[in-house]
Amino acid sequence: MAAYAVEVDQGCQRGLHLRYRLAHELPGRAVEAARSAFDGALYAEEPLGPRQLQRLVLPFRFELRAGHADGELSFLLRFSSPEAQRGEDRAAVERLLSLLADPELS
Amino acid sequence: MTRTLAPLSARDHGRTLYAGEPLVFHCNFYNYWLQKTMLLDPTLHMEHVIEAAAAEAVYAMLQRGAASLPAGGGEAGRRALAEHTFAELGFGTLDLSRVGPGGGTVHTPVSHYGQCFRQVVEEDFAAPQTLFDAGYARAAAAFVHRRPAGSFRARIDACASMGAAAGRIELSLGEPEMVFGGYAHAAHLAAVPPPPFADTSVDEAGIHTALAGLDFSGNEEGLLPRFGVMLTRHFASFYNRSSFEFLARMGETGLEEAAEMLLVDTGYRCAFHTFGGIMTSPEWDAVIRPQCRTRADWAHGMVAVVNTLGWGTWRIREIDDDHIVVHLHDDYESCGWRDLYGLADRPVSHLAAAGVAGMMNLIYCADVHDKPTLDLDFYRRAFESDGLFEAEQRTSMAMGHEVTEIVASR
Repeated sequence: MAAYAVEVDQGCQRGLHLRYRLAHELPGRAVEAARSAFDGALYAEEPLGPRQLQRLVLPFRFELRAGHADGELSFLLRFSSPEAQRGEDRAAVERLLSLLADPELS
Repeated sequence: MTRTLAPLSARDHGRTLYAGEPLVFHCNFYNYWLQKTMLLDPTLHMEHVIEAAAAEAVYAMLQRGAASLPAGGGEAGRRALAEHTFAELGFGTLDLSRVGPGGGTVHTPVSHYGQCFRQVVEEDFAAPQTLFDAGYARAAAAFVHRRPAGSFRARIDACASMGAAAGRIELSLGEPEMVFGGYAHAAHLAAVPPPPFADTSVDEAGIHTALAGLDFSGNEEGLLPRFGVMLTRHFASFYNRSSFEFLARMGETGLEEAAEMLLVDTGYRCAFHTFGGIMTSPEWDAVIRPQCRTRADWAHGMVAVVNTLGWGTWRIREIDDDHIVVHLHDDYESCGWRDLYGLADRPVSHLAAAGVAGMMNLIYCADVHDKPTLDLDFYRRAFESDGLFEAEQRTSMAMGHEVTEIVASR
């Protein structure tokens, strides 16, 4: 079974906002792992009613959000990020998700 | 990085002021459709109005905001206030470093009216869309270099909406095409306090507390992606001045009612994208959906969110499957009209009217609770089918009534 399913959000930044569907506990772990993996990433938490949102921003490249919905990780690319960098960052995040979903590696 | 900003303060009836300037949330889809509507007839020359309306609101805001800077801030402090406010409110990033007292070049690496507009249409525009940015730049340069409003004229040399990598605006000393003057505004009119929120399972205060935990400041690119849309925390006076001037110019050729219908149609786009985006968002699912048992509860939930947008305070007085009565206390359109022109001879709350009807269409006609994709097919179902809700403005604070009453029925 695939580690995740991904869809492009059509409502916000069009092709720049991707939503990953994951196993329940993985979005928060993915944000934590990315926090370690990307130098210069900025981390913040925000309360939203009964939920706690996690936001990780790599300035001018991308943002990861978790906690807003069960099993969902939002990946928002920045306008300032060049096409090649966007591709590299998306690939890096998806590699990380695959690793986290593999019980033998995570 | 800490931004240099002016004070943000909450006022009664859901109004929020930034350096004394009333702010309202609107998304890139509404901003795009409103501008497209106003530019439909080139003989109206609305591009000058849009730029001047931006300059008017921004110059007034910055002048008041300077009072919060230590010792007036100096040139560097004033420049920081202008640049950081642009980013904080979701307009993008603005670089005034190459502008002197005699003019210069303003760079906008990222712009809501540039890149985000291009995202809406997914192709290059034929003409620059960053008219707001040009007005902002004009006002900011005058403020930074202590010149009177209207000292600079602007020329947009590059625009991301047309496919440029970044925006570039050339400023030079000289009389611009248009300047509004004598500006003063009222953010608050209502003498009648809103009644308590409706007796429903929806907890308005709890929703406001939950949403208050979210950061609604522009990110490092100066953009504000939330609720599945790209928000701006915009100047109510900008919308009012440009929309009402559009009505006046259309009215000069006997087309005032047509202009009102166009503004209502623009409001439907707002309802569709902003309200639809909110009601299909994870934030809605987390906080509001669990409180909703009926379609009426969805309307109450949406109204609770609207009351955080700076649009005034809405109260649903009656609601069933076929009609709704909403009272608006201090709706920003009425407040703006009274401020700019005195008493109106007809209602002016076209965005709010479209919002009420649009909300009902989404909830009662188009089953927004099923989380549809907000695409063109869904728009046609929700806003262009038979048997949809239509709104009527029964009373108007702009005309001197105690509240603005909007009735929508099908």
